[in-house]
Amino acid sequence: MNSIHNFPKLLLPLLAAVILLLAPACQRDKQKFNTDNLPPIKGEVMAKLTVAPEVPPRIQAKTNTKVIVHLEIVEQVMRLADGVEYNFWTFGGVVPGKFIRVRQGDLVEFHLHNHPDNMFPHNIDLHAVTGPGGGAEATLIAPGKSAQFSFRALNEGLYVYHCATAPVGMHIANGMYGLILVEPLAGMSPVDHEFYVMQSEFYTSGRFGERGLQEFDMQKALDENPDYVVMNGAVGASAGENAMQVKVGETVRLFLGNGGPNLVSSFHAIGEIFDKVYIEGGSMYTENVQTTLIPAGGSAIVEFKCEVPGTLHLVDHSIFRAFNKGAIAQIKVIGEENHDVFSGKEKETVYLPEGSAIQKVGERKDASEEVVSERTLEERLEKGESLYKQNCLACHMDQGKGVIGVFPPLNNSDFLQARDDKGFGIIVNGLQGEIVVNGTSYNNIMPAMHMSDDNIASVMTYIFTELNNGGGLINAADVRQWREKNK
Amino acid sequence: MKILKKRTFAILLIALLVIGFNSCDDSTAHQETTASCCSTDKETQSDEPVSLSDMSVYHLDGDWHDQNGKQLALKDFAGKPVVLTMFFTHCEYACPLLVHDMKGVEEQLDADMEYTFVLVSFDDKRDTPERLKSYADSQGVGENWVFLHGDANQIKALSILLNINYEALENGQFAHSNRKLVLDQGGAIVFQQDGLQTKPEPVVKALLDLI
Amino acid sequence: MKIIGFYKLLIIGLLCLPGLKSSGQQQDMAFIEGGTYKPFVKGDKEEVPVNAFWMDKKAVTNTDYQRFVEANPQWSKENAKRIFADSNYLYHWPDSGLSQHSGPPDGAPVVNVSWFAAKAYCEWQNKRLPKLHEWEFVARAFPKNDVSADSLQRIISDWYSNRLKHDFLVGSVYQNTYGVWDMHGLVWEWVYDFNSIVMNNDGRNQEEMPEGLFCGSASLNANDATDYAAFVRFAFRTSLKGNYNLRKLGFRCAK
Repeated sequence: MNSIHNFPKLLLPLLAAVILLLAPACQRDKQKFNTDNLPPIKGEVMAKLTVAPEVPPRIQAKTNTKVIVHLEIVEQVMRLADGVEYNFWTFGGVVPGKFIRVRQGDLVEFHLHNHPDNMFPHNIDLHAVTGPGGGAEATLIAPGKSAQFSFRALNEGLYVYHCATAPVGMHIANGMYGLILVEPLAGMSPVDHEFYVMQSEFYTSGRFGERGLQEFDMQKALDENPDYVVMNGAVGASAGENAMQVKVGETVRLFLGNGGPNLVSSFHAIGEIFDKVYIEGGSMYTENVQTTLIPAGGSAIVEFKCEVPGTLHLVDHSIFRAFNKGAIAQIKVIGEENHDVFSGKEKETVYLPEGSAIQKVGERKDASEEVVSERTLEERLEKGESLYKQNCLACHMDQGKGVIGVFPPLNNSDFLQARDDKGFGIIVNGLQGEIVVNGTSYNNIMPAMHMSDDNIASVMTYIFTELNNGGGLINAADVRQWREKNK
Repeated sequence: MKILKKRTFAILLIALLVIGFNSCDDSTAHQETTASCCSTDKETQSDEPVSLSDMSVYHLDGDWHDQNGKQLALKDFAGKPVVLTMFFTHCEYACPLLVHDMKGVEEQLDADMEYTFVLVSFDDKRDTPERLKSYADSQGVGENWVFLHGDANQIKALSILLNINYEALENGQFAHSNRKLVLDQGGAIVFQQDGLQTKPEPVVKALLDLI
Repeated sequence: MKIIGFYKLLIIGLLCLPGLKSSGQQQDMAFIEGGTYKPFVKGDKEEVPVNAFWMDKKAVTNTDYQRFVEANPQWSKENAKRIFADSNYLYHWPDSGLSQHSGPPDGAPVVNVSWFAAKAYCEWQNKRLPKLHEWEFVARAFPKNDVSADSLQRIISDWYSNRLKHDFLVGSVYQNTYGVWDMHGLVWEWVYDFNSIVMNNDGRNQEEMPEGLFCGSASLNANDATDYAAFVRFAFRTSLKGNYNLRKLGFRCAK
């Protein structure tokens, strides 16, 4: 159910008082609609729907028009993560569902189609609708059927739509949500890029990364304990080679949604500050925000300018979801460095929302004082390999291949081989700022790893021997010596 | 706080009003394959005055009894427009309103118009023709009002044909949808209206369109 | 399902089936000893009685249905009235009807049949469609060969997740303790009174649709809101009309 517009006159003063009390930071001039005298509708257009992260172009008609939307529900097995598949229930064959864009005052003629090969009944509740169930009652359809209804987009804002067929939680958990934007008739302020990113979680029979076709796990959903928290429907859907791309100096507007079904998102862009956030997708905005909450079944619009090159990581800052459950999308900002804004070389950070101090990974105290007997090359390689997998693999990848431009390679690394400290300093102190490895420039942060001398010796033996850096046994004593010298 | 509470209350109140209004609002029939015109019907007998379209409700076989004990089939209603609903006489709230709504429709029709009002009972046990007769008398309705009694199986088939949900309850009552339908001379559904205390005009208009 | 309920069913299955089965001549039907059953949607009473009845062991196949159509030409693909069966009626059959050389395999359950068609078929066999409570009563029974607590749920869950691998043939998924096959995992099935889902026991304030099933109040009306499989079945039935023909909806008969 959506907000109701036609307040009786009596209530308007009360409402005004409430608005004054809330004292918004900023507010767009908002056109109020008198539902007894709605603007006339001229002509009609077929809505263009897009797949995340794309956003459809704005409708150009000067006056309000009839917007015809066709959305097809498809149940199909798709990728949830590498090697992991899931039987998704989708609006438009994709998760999140296709993006719909209309203007305030437009008449939306909505056609919902339930594909005949589907197994389940479905419907749609658009939060942008003022009317019973947001259209849910009017659109309940069996497989092989279509339903049609119309509504006036009375309130501007960014709204979630979702399936509301019982059991609602299960339909949403299987992927049935998307966003519909109701923008002002005159459009929003121009920006260089608009993107669509929607967070949601999946509850699977197998744990994160367990291969094969996974099934929905009702108990995990009840416990609100998802195995996957993802941006745009799958792990890596809008990251890596699928990352969004912009140029330095360009402005970006993100239409953000949270499909849930359960979790609230602490939405954050690593390496960026939101210049503007339209709170909860409404008309009021606030400025200079690091992390904005997006409720399940809610949205936000954020705007920022990309001042420096690099990769922005869009994450749920409930951070284990980002690094352990998949909630990362990326925007690659390409262009010239602007050292006035961000200088890696001077080892200074102008802004780092995560804090400028280098993190330390691992908590054991006095690791260096631990007395251990030395090990053979074979023992070090075996131990080193497992340590590599635990501590290094996530970024430096299998066989130390790295990720070009993001995480430097360790395999046959000229940078590593040229160092006098055999890399001990990097592990103990961490490393940040721009470096060049095998001809490619990297500008990222590696946290200090709080490892024992013994473990450092093992992992570096592995890296030097197995990853083609010249080989050779490294002893814990070598590390201890280096520590003494560099105290 | 007080203001907020009042506001919340007001919104709730308005929401309720809007929902309530909507539930009583007219909704037109969702005919996916509208029988726009009368396709030739293979089984129509030549002695029947009106050919039945593929979407005719009158294809439903079975014998019914009216309030006068007369045995008839649905197709006997062919030839005149029909306003059809399902009800039961022991119903205390919804059905009297349904009947009231039907009377409201009749009041707006010209006396010389030819149409039939058909009310089919859910209650195969208690709504015997005799019971229906006394109910019809108590309502003071004319000869063109037909109250039908059938067996449980027929009632179920008709309700499914009309997309009317109902459930027999332990206490002898029935939970049911409140739906009025307008059938054309060939028995095809041309209009339906859901809810109680509805406006008569849309039904009247649907009837006039048939003449 | 509760363990106690399951043992009760098992005992009923073991004790009652053999004796009664031999007295009846129904090879292809299973005798279902009545009992009480707790319906998914809360009604006047916590439990409703289910009287003893017979249930087809397997869903009706294309071959079975072909015989029906031959004997009842008004139910052929081209003759069926649209008010009883919409244009998807027997969609998967060649227009000329089934022959030995075309169409789906013999043992596949017939789908794309409407409620009216299914009802006519059962009546032609001197049977009837099972009632909703009857169908649900039988559907609760555990697989015969795997009576562990979650075996039934696993079949349903695999089915919903598209993980169930089997030939699309009747008698291929599982047989329950009544000897009835494939109550879950093969196709949805029509029940006689699928339109009996009316949430409010009072006649007043009736909406056209039982909105309680798919709106927020659903959980308030459900006996067990975590039984999502039951939710799905009820939502499915709510979305149906009598002349619909769906690719994953078939039926079986009872008497």
